[in-house]
Amino acid sequence: MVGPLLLAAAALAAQDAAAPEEEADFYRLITVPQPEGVVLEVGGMALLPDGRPIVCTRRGQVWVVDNAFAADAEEPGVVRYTLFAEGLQETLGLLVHEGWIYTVQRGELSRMRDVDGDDRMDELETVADPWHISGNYHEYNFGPRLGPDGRLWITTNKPFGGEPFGRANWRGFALSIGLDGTWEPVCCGLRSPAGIQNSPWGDVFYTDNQGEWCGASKLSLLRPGSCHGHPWGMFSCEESEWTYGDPGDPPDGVLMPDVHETIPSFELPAVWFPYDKTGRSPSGFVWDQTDGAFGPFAGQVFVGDQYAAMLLRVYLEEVGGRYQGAVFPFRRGLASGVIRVAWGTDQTLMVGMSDRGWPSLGSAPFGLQRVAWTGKMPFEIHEMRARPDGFELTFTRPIDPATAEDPSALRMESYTYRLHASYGSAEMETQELDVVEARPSEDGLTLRLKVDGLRAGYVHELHLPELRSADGQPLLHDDAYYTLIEIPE
Amino acid sequence: MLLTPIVVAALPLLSAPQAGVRAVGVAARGEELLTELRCVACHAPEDAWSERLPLLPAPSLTGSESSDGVGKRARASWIAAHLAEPGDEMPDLLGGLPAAEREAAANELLAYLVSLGGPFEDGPVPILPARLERGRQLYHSIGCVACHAPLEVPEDLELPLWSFEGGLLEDAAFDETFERSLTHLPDKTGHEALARFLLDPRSTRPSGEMPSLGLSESEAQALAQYLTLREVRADGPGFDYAPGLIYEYFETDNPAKLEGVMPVRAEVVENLDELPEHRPDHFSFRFRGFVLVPEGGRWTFYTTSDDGSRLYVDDELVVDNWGNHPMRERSGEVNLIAGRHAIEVVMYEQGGGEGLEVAWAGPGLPKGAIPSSALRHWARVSPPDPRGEEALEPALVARGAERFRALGCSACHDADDEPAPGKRLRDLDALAPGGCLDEAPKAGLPRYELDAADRGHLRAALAARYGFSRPLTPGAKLQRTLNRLDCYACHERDGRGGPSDDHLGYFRVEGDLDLGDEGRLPPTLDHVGWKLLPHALDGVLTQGEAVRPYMLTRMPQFGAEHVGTVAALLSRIDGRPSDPPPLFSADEVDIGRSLAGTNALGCIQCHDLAGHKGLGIPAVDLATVGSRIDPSWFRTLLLDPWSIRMGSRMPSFFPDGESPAKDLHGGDPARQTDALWSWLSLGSSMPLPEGLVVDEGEYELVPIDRPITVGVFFKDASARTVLVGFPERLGVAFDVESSRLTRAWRGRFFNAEGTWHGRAGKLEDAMGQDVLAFPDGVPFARLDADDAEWPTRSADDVGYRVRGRRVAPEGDPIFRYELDGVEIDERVLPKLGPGGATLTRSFQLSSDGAGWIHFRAATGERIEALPDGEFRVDDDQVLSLRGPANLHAVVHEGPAGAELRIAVPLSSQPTLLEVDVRW
Repeated sequence: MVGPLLLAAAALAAQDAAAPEEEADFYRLITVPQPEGVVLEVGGMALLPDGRPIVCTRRGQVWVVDNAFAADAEEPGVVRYTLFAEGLQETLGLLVHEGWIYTVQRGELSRMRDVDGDDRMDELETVADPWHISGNYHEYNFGPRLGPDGRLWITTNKPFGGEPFGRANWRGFALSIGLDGTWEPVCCGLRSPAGIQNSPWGDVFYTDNQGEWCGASKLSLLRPGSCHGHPWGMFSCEESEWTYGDPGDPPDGVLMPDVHETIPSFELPAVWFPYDKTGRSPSGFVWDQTDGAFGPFAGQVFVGDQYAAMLLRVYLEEVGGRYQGAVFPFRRGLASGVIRVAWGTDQTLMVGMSDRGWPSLGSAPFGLQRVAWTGKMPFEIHEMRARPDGFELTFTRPIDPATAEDPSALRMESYTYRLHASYGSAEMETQELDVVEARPSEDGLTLRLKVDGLRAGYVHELHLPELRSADGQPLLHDDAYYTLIEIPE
Repeated sequence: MLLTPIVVAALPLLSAPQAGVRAVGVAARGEELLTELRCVACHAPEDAWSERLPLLPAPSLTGSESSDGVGKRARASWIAAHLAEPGDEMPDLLGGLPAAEREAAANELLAYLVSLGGPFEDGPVPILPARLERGRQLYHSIGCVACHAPLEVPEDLELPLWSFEGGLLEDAAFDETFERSLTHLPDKTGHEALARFLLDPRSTRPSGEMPSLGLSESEAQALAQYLTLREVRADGPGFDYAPGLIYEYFETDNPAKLEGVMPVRAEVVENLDELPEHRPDHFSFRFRGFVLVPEGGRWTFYTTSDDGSRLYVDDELVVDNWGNHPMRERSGEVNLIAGRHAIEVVMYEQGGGEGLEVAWAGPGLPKGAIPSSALRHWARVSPPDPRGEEALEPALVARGAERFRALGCSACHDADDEPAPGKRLRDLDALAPGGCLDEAPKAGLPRYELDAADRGHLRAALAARYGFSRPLTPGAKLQRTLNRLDCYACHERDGRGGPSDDHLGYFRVEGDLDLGDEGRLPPTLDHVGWKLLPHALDGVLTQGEAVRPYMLTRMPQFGAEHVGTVAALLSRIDGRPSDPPPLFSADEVDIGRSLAGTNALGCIQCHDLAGHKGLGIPAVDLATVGSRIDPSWFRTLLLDPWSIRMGSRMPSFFPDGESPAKDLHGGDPARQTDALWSWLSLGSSMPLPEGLVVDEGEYELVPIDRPITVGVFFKDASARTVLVGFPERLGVAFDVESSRLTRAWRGRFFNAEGTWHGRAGKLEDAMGQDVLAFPDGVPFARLDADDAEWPTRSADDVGYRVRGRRVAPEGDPIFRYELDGVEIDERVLPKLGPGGATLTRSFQLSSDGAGWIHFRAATGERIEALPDGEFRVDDDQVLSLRGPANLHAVVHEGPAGAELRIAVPLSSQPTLLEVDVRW
């Protein structure tokens, strides 16, 4: 199917070469409607073994969705919803695993199943509930996801404001929980860890939201024993269940690359999301495992942003035993704040949304959309790889070498952030960078940049406004943000 | 200045009983006058007469915990004028004295009265246009004008009274023919004192004729503002500019639509440093007043706000900081001459964080907050009252106190147990020259404003005084109360009374509801003692109960001491032998429910239902019927509506004796009526009929077909609580973390706004009524003996493990937990019965082996075993138990009270335990 489509798309592209390209030319949004009475403030999404989506909501309801991938899904009445379960507390994640549907509520990790096949839950088992909650609205939990240890991982949010029942343990942690109810905390110092996902190779990552003790939003590896910088919940590290020793007190007002001097277990992120340039509130994310059915970005990560109602794209690579990489804008204009992303059976990307309590640029209060690749090849930076003396860019379409060779047409700067108690960090130590050489490959698919003054622990922000494809198009997104933690040797 | 009460005094003596004069005989009218004029305060009646001649206390002058002394509530100048020329029922006691002594006596009395809480003070009172307008509308709608003169004609009430630019508008033409005017109040009292009085008028005026109207604090403030400040004119006498700004607080986040909206609150703020109290999201503020510009020139104003704000100076938009955004500064410039300029700041907040900061900068003034000293709002300042301070000379006060006693004032005011100062009533000579009834009473005797007719009535009553020992008939007793309290001003009974044509326009319905006169006029009292059960009558008369929320006129509360017997009198006079009410059964309830739905009789087309809006007009909520209405009256209303002639728009449901619903009870109107009654008897626990469109805002959860389950933070339970609402209108709360059922209630289930709106996280509570609390602590324990100590530690520490839940086919959750090898499944099910739903708790206990487990079914101060094996807990709960044969229950008396413990034997087979709870 892909071949003829691509040919047709190429013909179309040649025909319209002069028209400016837009995101919608390449990634189309399909809105999956809800009837009145179905308030789909999506907290989690998964596919049932029969391929139908199952969606849990912030209201603690779980819905089974029929016909979500039908060709006429946007027509009223085609998509149907069945209330699978209700009466749960703020469910913000779903995982279908070994015949059970797992979710984490405020107070417990639960698993549910429908025994008699009527699409309504018959049984809910409490898998584990080793933590208590204080009754604060912000005591959210996210997950679960299957960890490399074969156990279920969740992240816990820290409270904000009043705690009617007193301060509770294990807020701002990643916990690993066995199906037998055994559990252990694996990471501390999380702030508002709204997304958690296991990578195809097993490591679990999470997204965190900029705020106090979190200078910029980030995507980070949940390395067992790591500390992510927010001290609020770290008093729990004195409990016997925490086996990684005293992480120490996070220093107030230190540049991120220097924090490990005080906190050796401090985990620098895989990528930072510079504020407003790449959204504001990263949430759910997912690796592209569609092998090209969703376009040219197989293996990369799509990240939702709640405030900006958009999707970002992250390219990750391993350098010096750590993950790092680049963030690119991908698709704006979703209907509401993006909370979760998950793959549909047809390799469209399901996007679950809500703007409740946290405003979003989208116009709808909640909803479900699907992003479908139109088959047309966008002109995008495909990958951005670090090199000892600069970066190597690859492109989805050949570039016009003439527009690439003049380094002065590229703009690049680098900056980092501070760890501190106040809300968010400005970009610190900003420096313009000299791109001393830009060398396109013969096939026009690669551009090698030599850059003076690379700094480890810094975001390297790149703009390519003058670059054109061989057929004269500017980049669909001409900016990229590489978080350089290690400079490769 | 001549004071209004004197004008009032010249009017016919008492306005209330005018109708009564015609209805009762001359002597009977005289008998009423003996009470109303308080003749019996000085002239003691015989004991046997006192039921017919009660002493009605005059207004309290000393004050009490709940009322101000007269010196605190009235201006000295007004007291002085009132002593010089009293009015109403108060006689002139100084009139016969020589001029010099009269003046001395008046000064002494004034000193004493001012000393009772005085001197009067009334600080600057902010003029709040929204409050003034609210007071004006309240005054002319809730019933004040049934007795007091209206201050405006009804048509004018739709025009604004106040414009912020121009102050009070000139009064429109006004019909001055009404009596009991209150136009004297600005001279008599002040805003704060009047507001305090209005909240509890009977503690100042114990005679009950000025009833309580159940005002909220803010309503009392509004009425007091209107009645004391309505005549203040911008820049006229008493008007001033006081520091600070007026603010109005709205619970809307659409400030484009504030015009004509009544703010939730209006007050004064010192400055614009921080927002006054507000809810977390979705609100607006409007600040208004004046800014004092110290020097002419170019001025810059700044607002920093989250979300939007706008600032106007002299009605010109200067700062536009509109739109949704985090704290963001915007500014604007304007040329101003030195002096006072109108300023207005509007801000709104949709969601998330919020804030407002306002700053200015101008010639010689760097950017900074606008200080309080530069902000002004309109206020009324009281002119100083020189008589107040002067009067408090101690020797004068002491002489005044003595004079007060000597003149017999204390026989009526704050009467103590002293013997009445005059001759006994039995010994009076009605024709004695120089007596009270003479044209010219002797010095020292009270002088009443009596006309010849009044004297005739009084003399006739005195001539017949030995008849006072004969008790009044119930009808006469009732008549007397209806006359004295002027119930006829609002209500009609036996062809008498009801609003006069002059007053009809002041009886209004909420909004524009199409309910006709039934919606706006207080109901007829014909048959009312039959229609309403005695406790319902008493509820209306003494408990402030009301079932017509759409009617703006309120039922005044006169106090049980004045109307406490009226319910019994009405029941006795109007009551009819009642048929036994239909037998209750759950099947009858179901038929009644079907009849009320849209597919049958359609009661819900007009009537509200247990707090949910009906489909059309909001006629009386049917949930109130079962507990208030006599069943035989209801039967007559449905089967023979014309015999009751309620004047109702309620249609006849069985025209020609035929029911439109043929399939229910074979279309038999009598059986259908009885089924409806079974359903109505459940009150607010009634299952909701089909066809009801539940539209109580998007967050109210209303189970109609299936139970609803929702997870919440809950008061007196953990933050991990699940609520279950059943269509039988039973709600329960189960604390998952403690494996404990904590609450049950009837009626409305739950409004999820606090849990489902915005960032949510509200600590929720039961929404309905009849809330039943189950015992604190763990429900089950493994005890060594029946009387061992019950564990007090948390469920976690005791060894409980949460297992989860199953969902029954009916949709309700079965909660599962485990204690010490015993797996427990707990289910709560509603059970319909007379009065509403009760519940059954059922437990399935599974374990490997034998032994015992104890269940604590109830705790209380007193638990009593009833003969039939049931247990009564504190008179509010009855439990009955079912389970294995060798189960036993014990009442354990512990230090914290009584506990009902049930020892349940375990075996390898699952054990069932069921506990019915009625409350």
